[in-house]
Amino acid sequence: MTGGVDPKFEAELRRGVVQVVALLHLESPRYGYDLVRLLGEAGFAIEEGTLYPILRRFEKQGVLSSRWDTDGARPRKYYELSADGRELKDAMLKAWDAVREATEEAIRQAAAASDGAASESSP
Amino acid sequence: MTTGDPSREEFLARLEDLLPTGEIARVRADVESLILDRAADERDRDPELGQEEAERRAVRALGTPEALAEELVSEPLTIGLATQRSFVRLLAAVFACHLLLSIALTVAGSRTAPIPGLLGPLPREPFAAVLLSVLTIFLIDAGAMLVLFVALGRSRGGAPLPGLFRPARWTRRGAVEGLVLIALLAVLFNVFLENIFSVKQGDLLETFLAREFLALVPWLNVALAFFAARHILTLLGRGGGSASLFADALGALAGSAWLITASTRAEIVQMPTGHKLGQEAADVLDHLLESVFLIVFVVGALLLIVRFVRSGIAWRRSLRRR
Repeated sequence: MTGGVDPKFEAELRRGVVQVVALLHLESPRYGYDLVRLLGEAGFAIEEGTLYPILRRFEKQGVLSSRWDTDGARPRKYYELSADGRELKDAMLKAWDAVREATEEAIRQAAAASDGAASESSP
Repeated sequence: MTTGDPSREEFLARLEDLLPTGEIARVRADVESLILDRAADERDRDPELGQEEAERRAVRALGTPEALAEELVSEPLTIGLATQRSFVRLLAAVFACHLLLSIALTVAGSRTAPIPGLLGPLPREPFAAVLLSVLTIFLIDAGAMLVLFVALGRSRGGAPLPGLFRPARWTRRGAVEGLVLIALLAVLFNVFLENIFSVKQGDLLETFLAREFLALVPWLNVALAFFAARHILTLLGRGGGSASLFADALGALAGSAWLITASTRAEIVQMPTGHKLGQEAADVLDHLLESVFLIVFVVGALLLIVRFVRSGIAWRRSLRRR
């Protein structure tokens, strides 16, 4: 393949990571659209149609607790990490670290192999 | 909430049609709140924008109702750590308590079961019977936990339901998959049942299913026919309509009635005895297989009753909308 990265590949890559980042932002209570904006500002632009199923799934799994705030102009649902959610977030971060370290190691090995091949071919 | 907007209302009404009944109220409130928040933000950024157009933009950010519903009802992509943990933890606790109570009753010399079929003393011998009883306790607890998690909405999104018991999505692909499954079940029950559930006696295969149970098998076709009708209606573009919901409810009702009738038969299994299988071994196998069939039938019936109630409620809702 030539040119830029396949958008599907990037979307799939982001899909997993955005769940970890969303959990990181939900240490304190946030409502859905607030989280959309925060993720956008953090470089993880995401539409509500993608984020909401993730929040709903986490809520059903007990990873997030939620409450409705009806004091404002509009009722808003606030999400926050539960105790199970903190455990899951830690587990996801560990998994992320393992993937990151393995990827970095693979990049280092590929670079070393490339350097070795270049020095062998030079006169 | 603010007054209705056609675009928002259309989106929410379509989404309602696609969601499982138990999810509708909650998801509708969540999604409506998201739309209104986004619309307010759009209007803050562009004060010239009307409320209607702002809401249309907010709806656009949600994608199509079909795609959103698909995401909401499909299996989780992430690890269901919380789900698995709570199910396993609860099952371990229930099984341990159940087993301890049974051991306590055995040690106390109880001769009768306080709750027949669920709680009673363990047999003291032979060893195979003790193992069988412990296995039965585990299967009962696992089945009950599954029903509890699924039926009472405690699945937390992770416990998958067998396809037969979960109202499939109203898509053509789902309908084709459903029809293939029904065809396979029909062939299994009407053609191969006695060959599959059989033991070899000399050169012949002899079924171990009791005649009383086999006489019931043709009636299962009624439930399969209703489910097939539901899928055919979906293929004809009428999936999710009142006729298909009615067919689904009838299929679930017929299926659960069949399973309850089957589980109340005096004999489901009648192991043939011969030169290889003595009477004692045949009795133990009878008991084991009867227990397994009973658990499958009772759990299946409960799941189908839940499906009947869900489809029935959805059918009534669809009639009210017409």
